[in-house]
Amino acid sequence: MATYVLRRLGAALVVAWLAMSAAFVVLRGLPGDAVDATLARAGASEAEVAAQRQRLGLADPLWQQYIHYVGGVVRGDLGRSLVSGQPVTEMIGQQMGATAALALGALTVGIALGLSLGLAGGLWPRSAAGGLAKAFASLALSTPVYWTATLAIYLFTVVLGLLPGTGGDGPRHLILPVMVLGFHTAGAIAQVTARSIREAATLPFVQTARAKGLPEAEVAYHILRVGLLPVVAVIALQLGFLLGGTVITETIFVRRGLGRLLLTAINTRDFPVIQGVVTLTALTYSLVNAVADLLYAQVDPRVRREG
Amino acid sequence: MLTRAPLRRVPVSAGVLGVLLLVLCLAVAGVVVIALRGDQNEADNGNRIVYGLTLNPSGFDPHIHISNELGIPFFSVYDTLVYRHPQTMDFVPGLAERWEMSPDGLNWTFTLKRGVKFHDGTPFNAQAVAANLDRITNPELGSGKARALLGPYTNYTISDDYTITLHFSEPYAPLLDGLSQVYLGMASPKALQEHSKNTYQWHQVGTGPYMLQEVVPGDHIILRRNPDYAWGPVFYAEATAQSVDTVEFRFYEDPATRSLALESGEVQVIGELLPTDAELLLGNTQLRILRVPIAGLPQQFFFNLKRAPTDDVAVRKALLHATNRTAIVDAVFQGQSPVAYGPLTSVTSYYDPAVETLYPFDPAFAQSLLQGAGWSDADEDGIWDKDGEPLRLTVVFASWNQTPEVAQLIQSQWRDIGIEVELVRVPDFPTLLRDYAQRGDFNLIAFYDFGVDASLLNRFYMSGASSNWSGFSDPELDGWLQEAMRQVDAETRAGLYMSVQQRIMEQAVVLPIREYVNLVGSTARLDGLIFSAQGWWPLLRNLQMVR
Repeated sequence: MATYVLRRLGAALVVAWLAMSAAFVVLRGLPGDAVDATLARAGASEAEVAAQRQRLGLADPLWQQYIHYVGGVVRGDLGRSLVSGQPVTEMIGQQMGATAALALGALTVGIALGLSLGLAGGLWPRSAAGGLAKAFASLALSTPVYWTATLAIYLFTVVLGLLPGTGGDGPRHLILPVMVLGFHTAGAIAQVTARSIREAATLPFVQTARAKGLPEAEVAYHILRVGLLPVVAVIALQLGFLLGGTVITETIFVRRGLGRLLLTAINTRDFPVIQGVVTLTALTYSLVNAVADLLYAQVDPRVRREG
Repeated sequence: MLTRAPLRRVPVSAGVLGVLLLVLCLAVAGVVVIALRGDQNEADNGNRIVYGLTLNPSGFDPHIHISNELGIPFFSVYDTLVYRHPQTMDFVPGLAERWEMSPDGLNWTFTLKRGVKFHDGTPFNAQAVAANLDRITNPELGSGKARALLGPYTNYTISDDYTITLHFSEPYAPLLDGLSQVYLGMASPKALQEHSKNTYQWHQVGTGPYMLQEVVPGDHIILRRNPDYAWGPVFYAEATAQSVDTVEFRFYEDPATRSLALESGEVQVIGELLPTDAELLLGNTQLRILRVPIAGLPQQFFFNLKRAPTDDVAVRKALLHATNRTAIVDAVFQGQSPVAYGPLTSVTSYYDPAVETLYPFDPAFAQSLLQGAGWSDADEDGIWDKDGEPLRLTVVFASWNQTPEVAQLIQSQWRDIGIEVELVRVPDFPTLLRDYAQRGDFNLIAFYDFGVDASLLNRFYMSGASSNWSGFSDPELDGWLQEAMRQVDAETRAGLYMSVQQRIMEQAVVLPIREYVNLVGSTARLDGLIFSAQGWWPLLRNLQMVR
């Protein structure tokens, strides 16, 4: 078990390093850099632009920049923003709490809603409740966040005046964005849950159980033990996705967070900030998945034996 | 065996699952209830307003950063040595009581106001001005705009505590315009010393009518009224019991959310409403919609003079005549912006109205111009051609300010007279600059800048200037622009800029579309919302709550 854990953690680190390196290279392939987005945009002369590029180290050869950057990361230094000069770790620290609150809130809503819908759709696919659940899940999956978000603000803030729609750090301000994002998270969870339960229901052991005359409740229990396994993975995937930044939700609800930090950084080609957020996201994502796999191993002995 | 174990476990496990779900739902409900009980008192604002900014600038230090948005809060945190009067556009005393230029134009002496104090208690004097100049001109600071506004400034001399002289290597007419902008706001030397160049932006200290109280990056900025403020320019109102005590700024980057936030009362002022939203809100008696004209360049497209077919002036003129600007302004901007006719907007200094009659919408005349330039439709496909090449244009733009909609209308208007247009939409400025502007890979490209002084034209139209993407080069025009930088006399400058504007339009270097107008929405409970001469920056000092 210990080696399994270590191996998974090692893999998570490797994924984070790969993501960081990929971000590093890909960003340099984009047209322009931070100096273009600031000085050149304001009309500075070519000489001033070149001098600033020199000062920021953007004129160094790529491999030198990379070694310098990785050297910093190993020491826990993600560099400084090319635009504001603020340390990237500090910038991420300022925004992480807001994103975590939104992501965990949305995941809670998503799991509660998604599992209920998925169970209904999976166990009683032909009933009215099941049909309704399936329709609901499809709606959550097929509507874009910016649409539901704008609609939610219009309804709950402008028309009903029940909840604050935009801006603000308080818990009240968290409700609408959490509901909207949770609704969309629920869609994926519900769909996978329903499908996997329906698939499990067709497995031979179910027929065997029924043939042996087990009560339907017991049959359902057997189906769920198998059918709910993939849901753990989906929830982990959703959490990683949510933690990675919820750009649109944060922008529309005027919340701070990693998503908006990333958006601003991309527009100004603030490479260290983008790399920092990408690396953190990759690390979180692979760690969450590692934990999910460990859980999986606990729930499903087959995985443990193979691992 | 198999049957017995589950028999015992079924109810337990199902129960566990049910309990889990129940707990989750309860947890959510609990959080909701606690939260709803939480900050319930928010509605009771007092003299406090929320002001919606439209972007989240990545930097707020006016000496370093370039965005117009930063001036919305910080124009009121700082005072400048001089101000432009918002109505007359004339220069009026700010922190400088009076000023004088030496006859050779190389030295400007400023006599400073006495008794002025920074928010941290530091007295304002010539040494403070010197500390600001030293900071801005230090190359290590990496100033994006402030340094450029000082032009050929070299150094200063302090005669006494309240007299400072700025020296220049050549005469520099736009100096006062530069000094009137927030980028050259006077910061407390003590605060500048206490904080590094990177951290000062969260702790800015000026002499202005509002003090920076709190910055939470990415979330909000809070300003509080400066109770000691008594040295404002003539156009600042006296503080009253109705003055706004606290202003909180938040960042509304999504345009559709802005009008919702205004309607729901979450913000009391917000800028850059969508024209369609502004039109709808006009009927709401609880709200006011202001159209604030912005000085500078209009929303426009530069022609590429180095690439066929826009290298031919006849083609460029034909395109100007083939563009129905009024229809564009009506359709895209709901008629809420003036049509633009020249390289400057009509509220900019030295604007020349003569450009307004040069290119009336006249598709027939446009076609005759093309014919005269040797274009015909030899293959009869409805598209003009010349030497076997169809009349095809590439129009490059970013998504700012409804430019995509504008470009689509231009495409259809020009298609009507037999010109094919390819639209290229880029995501951001660096892409526009690197992939298109610098490579000359366009026939028309959209870009603009804001500012009151006509010297703004230099970077776009002088031969080889940094943003002269057109490739326009006219030695005579270069001479006029240079001369206008050296001549302080307003009439002389007006004459020079008149020639400049006419030449640019005679050569059809640019396709102007509309003048920028900031559509600002505010609650009707707020009076005195006026903006600085530059257009973007509100005079928070003059805001009054209506009871």
